[in-house]
Amino acid sequence: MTTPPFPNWTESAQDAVFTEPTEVLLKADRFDQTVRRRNIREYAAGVSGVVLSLAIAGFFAWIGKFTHVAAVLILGVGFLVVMRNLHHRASRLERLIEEPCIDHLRRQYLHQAEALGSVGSWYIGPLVPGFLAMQLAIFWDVAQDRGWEEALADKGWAFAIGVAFLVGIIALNRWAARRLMRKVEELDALN
Amino acid sequence: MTQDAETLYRQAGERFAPALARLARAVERDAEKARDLEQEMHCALWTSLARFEGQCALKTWVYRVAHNVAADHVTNAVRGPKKVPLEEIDALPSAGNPETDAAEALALAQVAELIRRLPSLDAQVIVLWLEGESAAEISDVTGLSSGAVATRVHRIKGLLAGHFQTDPSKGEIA
Repeated sequence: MTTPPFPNWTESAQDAVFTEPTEVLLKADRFDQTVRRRNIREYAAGVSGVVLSLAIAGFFAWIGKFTHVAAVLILGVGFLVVMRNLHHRASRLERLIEEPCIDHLRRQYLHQAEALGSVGSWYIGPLVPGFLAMQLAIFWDVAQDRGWEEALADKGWAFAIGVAFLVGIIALNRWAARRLMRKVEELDALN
Repeated sequence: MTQDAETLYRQAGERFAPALARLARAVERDAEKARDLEQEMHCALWTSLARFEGQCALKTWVYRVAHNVAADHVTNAVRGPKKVPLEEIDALPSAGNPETDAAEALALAQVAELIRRLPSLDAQVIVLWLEGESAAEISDVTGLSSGAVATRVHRIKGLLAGHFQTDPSKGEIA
């Protein structure tokens, strides 16, 4: 320890005290409750997605559109896989808050970069089969009446926009991941 | 929490509560949010002390936890002014009230403003230097090499020297 260079700094906040352990316990309990509520919300969203998928599939079955039934069910399974992946990734985050600051920052950046860079496989990927099945069902519907050529001309743009949207999300996330990796390189260059 | 950990927590409180409060107030301008951040540091420290087995000095442990919580807070906060590395800053930023009569308050506010504008590691080095920590101690807390710490401290001393009457013999980095 050296003599503080700027006495005004160390003279301030002299009356500060640590939070009492009993209050810290209460706060930790509130934090646990927040995590529990978040988990319940995630499960509720997953269950709602399944119920909604089943309801929509039931509707399509009732009107006899069985290709749509299959597509909605595949999409529903995709949402379930995404929910599972979200939960898995959130619970896997290690929080070693006592490590040296540069290691802590590096770990945070790497974790975020990995999540963003692989969004295509764990977030978009599971939804792709359902998306394709739904598009195929739509094409099939139109093609039954007017042929495949007209189906493509009529519904092809919606498919293209959907694909562009998904590719755009992946590209944006990869760009953000590269920015984070540059930050990691900057940290590595500091020492 | 074990009895030992609670004892350590109380010891840490007696020694470092003001330093953690200053850190929270330096990185968070809003007083209420700064108090919340301070409590978040206490909670993180309380939880982490269950893992403390003398791997490093208690002071190093406390500072690491507090600075990492502060860095996470800055990362998660709404985007503020663009962060500028220390080597690119030529003058201390205005704290937003240049006509204040309270010169000391202005000086502290300007330093705090500078800290808020720096990337996490630069800010951590400056705060620890202001606390009077040595290069070796700053290096232990941040994980930066002593050379990298010395470079940053040299830079901040240059910035401060033109503005405040600091004793050049104080805060010398070994």
